[in-house]
Amino acid sequence: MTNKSFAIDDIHDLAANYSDRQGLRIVPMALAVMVQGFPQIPSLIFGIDTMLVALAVGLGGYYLIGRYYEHRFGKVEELPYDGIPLSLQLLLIGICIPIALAIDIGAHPPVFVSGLLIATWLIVTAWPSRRIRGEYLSIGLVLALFSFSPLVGIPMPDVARAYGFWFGAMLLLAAVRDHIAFMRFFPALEGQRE
Amino acid sequence: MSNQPFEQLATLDRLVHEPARLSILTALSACKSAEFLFLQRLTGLSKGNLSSHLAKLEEGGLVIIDKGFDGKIPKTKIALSAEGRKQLEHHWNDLERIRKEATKWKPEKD
Repeated sequence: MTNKSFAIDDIHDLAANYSDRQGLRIVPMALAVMVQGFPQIPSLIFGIDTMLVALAVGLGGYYLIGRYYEHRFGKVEELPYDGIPLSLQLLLIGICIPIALAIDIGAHPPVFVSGLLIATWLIVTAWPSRRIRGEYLSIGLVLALFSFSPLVGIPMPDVARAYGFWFGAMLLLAAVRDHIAFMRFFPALEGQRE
Repeated sequence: MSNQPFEQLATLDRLVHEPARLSILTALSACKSAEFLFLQRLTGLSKGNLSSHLAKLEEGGLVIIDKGFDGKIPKTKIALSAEGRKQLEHHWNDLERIRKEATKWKPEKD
């Protein structure tokens, strides 16, 4: 047995939320979102919207880093998720974000609707029936407040860029924190595949 | 003089109560199945030691072991059986009951 001792609840939590706890999987998405906040980033790369490029980098990175975790720590087949499945969440967000962006650009609302939508998603998904993800709940709340910045006279494009940068930065921190917590479960012994 | 809660501790099922096996069973209770490598990483046991614990658990009908291949790489999937889930739940209930009794226990006066 490892000399590190963990509460049985923690071992249970790790096995139940194995993919969620693999923090590095979020890093490409966090960096891609963060870069969107830089003013010098063009809106098109090879004629493709940079947001789509960022999404592709984020999802591709999520999959590839998942393979790394699987190779190094083994695979766990999780029990069916008792909330809304991630694929359905992403589909809903994928449908709602363009609508929210169109509202932000076309209707000039007094709040950053897209930002509020993402913040709401984070808050809702940080509250699964298994265990509250404190860091994501905090990020969601901060971003929700930030979405009201146009009310105090900050121009919408500036709000959107700053939102992207801080959202990415906070995701990055949460990802690193999750990864460190994940690694603490495993002893230094270099295991080998059977 | 009766040492009832303490006597009960000695009667716990050792197949489940052994720390490495309890960790394995607890992890398996939270998922559909897990690979051998995951359990090895989690418990820090050597391959031989983990295999030995898993063989005992399989003999006792607490886990189901599925040995297969992913391409040329051997992969073993382990899942908790229905009986294993029941036994683990019983075990935790017993431990909790004994803990409560032990905290209330006072030696009998002669």
